[in-house]
Amino acid sequence: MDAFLSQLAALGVDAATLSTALWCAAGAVVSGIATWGFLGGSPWPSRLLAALGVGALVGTGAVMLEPAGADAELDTPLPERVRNAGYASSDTCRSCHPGQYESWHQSYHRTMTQVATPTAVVAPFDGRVLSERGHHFQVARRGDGFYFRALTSPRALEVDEAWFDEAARLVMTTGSHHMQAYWFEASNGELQQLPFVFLIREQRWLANSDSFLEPPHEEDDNLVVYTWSSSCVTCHSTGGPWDGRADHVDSTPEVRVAEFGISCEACHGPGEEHVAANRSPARRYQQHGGDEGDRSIVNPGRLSNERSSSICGRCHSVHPDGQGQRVHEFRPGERLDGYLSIDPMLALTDQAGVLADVSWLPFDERDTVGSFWTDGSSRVAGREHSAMIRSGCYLDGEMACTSCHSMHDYRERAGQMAMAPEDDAMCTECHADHARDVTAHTHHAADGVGSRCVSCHMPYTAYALLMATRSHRMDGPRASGRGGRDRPNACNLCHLDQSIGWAEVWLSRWYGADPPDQRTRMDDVPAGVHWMLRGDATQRGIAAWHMGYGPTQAASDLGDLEPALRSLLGDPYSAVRQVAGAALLRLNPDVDVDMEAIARDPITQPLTDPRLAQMATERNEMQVAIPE
Amino acid sequence: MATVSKRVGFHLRFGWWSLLFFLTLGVALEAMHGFKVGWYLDVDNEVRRLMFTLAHAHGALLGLVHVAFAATLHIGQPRDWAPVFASRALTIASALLPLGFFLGGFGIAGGDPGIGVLFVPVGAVALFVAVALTAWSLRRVGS
Repeated sequence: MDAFLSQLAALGVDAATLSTALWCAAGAVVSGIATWGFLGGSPWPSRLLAALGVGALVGTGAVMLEPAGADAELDTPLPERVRNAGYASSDTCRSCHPGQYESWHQSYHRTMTQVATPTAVVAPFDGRVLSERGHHFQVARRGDGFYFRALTSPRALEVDEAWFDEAARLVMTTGSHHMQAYWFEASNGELQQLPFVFLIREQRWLANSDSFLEPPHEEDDNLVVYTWSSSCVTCHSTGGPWDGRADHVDSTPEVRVAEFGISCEACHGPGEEHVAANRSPARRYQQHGGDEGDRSIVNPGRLSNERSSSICGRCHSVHPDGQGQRVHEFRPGERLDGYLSIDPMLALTDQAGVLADVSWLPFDERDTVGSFWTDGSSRVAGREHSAMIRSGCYLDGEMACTSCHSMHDYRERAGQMAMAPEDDAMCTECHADHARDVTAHTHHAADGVGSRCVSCHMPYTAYALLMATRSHRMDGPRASGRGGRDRPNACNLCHLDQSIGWAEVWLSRWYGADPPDQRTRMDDVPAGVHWMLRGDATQRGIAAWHMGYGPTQAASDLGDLEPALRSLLGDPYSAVRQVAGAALLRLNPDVDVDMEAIARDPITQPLTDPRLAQMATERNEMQVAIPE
Repeated sequence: MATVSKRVGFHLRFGWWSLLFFLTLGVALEAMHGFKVGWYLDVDNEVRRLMFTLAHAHGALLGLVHVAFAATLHIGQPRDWAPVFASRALTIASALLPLGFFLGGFGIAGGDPGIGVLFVPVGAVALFVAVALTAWSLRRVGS
């Protein structure tokens, strides 16, 4: 039954809809049979027609009498969805652009924010208790509603009517791909986040504070709680706040948005004018016949790479502290740098592109700094625009986000790639010379991972959501990563068991990079060990993630590195511990790692090798916070 | 009388051949459903599907109208000029309406049918004229 319901859910049919349909069908059949019997003396064609007619009437009437869906039943107000400030809504777009609507509808952009219905909610609300820092919450479901209740102890209460009387209803969800967060109305009227998220792939609950790469909150028993109006509304909805005034956000909790999720008008701009203009068939056919495009709406495909990418960058870029709310005012077609410092590290890097000493900065500002490696590359996944704008292909070429990604013609849903995710054609479209003799350029087997463009030019050096993702600063590999905040290099991320000096030697031989000095040649510490023991939290997390990455496991002998990986189960950062635990499980599925336990507390794994133990004392303790 | 008979014969032939033609088109459309032809079924091609369906429906229905018109001529025996014009208008409508819908399925853009759909309003006017004239020509029949 569950499998059947899951299949229906995949088709967009939830249990409530199915139930309604079955009841209506049953009503139609029963009333039809009754009519047939009632007209017993009439000729059979008349009886058949009458039975069918009455059955159809009853079935239709039952559908119309069915109460409105869970959305309408919510007793807690959601952010108001209004068609204002020029927004028309995706439903309006659908009538003329059904194909584009459908491709968007299938995307994770649409489901970024949803009303908390059984179709949207992926976590189990089964009466379990979630605990974090002495706070306890019990979650449960009644009908189509999802509830939580704060408890004074971790002991689960019986979930009965009295329980629900004291519980708060969750009204909205954000996220549907990697993790999902839940929102409720706080006593001040604000929508606040339940302080736990649900990891979808791992199918486990996790405290908010443990889902981010954040320093441990010692002697602090306050839970991490986010408010919708200040944290999420900009990028997790369309047209929010509706009037585009930054001060509107703080002035009232009654945030209004055009639409939940990232819909058509997030990329194309408010569409009301476009809809009004195109009521005229003469205008539409004139547009169809011309090549100029419709000026009443923004088509990112017709913009320059800078303006086109600004649309994605509005959300997919690091928002320097204090500037995040200004992007409310950005509209597609504009330049993003008119609203925020799109490369905040320029002011903090020297002429060689190396990040200056930032230890003197107050923590809040280091939060921004912590989003970048010392070479100015973004190291936060989901902030790809900040990385891409430092790429030669963007600065000197015409590359835009849409060169590789597509919102409507994507090959795969997760990354909305226009081509297969690691297809060299994304690069060889311009760099055709490298495609002619791949091995001559890569020095790796032509059909192997080492010869894919993205392996060397877009290594996994960005972090978020408990995993590494590809850097979107497309550049040539350098033997970087020696410093505690330096970007790990592409060579050693596959060859974790080799030293950085080893990578330097090969880059020198193959590509004419500066040859390493004698000291570097003598360095025999595997890069993986160096990063896992001496690096800052991001380096540690990224190196640990690669320990579980298939191509790295194939290219490296990781046996000697496992003690360093195990030691990360005692890392002060919960996120690093979880990444290390997941990598250990991928290395050896039989290993005993309790992911929920290591998420909560460090599990110290002493390093018996004195050399490794010494390296661990050299750990870069600079606090890192990647709130993604 | 001979002229009326000739016209009745024409509309009977036109009607039944229309029915055969648009029945065949219907089978072709069903086949495209059966073989899941994306060119016809994909969401992007919703308008094409609608246009072809309308072409099939209007063509078949107008075929029946031709048969009914032939019967009307035969039974009602209207003798003035109206049935002659109605006959011509109905024939024009029967060509333009399905043809316009069918051509509208090509060159679709932005939720709009192709430019061939412009035949449809012309055909609709012709059909309106045909029906109105037929109704008017029968004003004295049986009274």
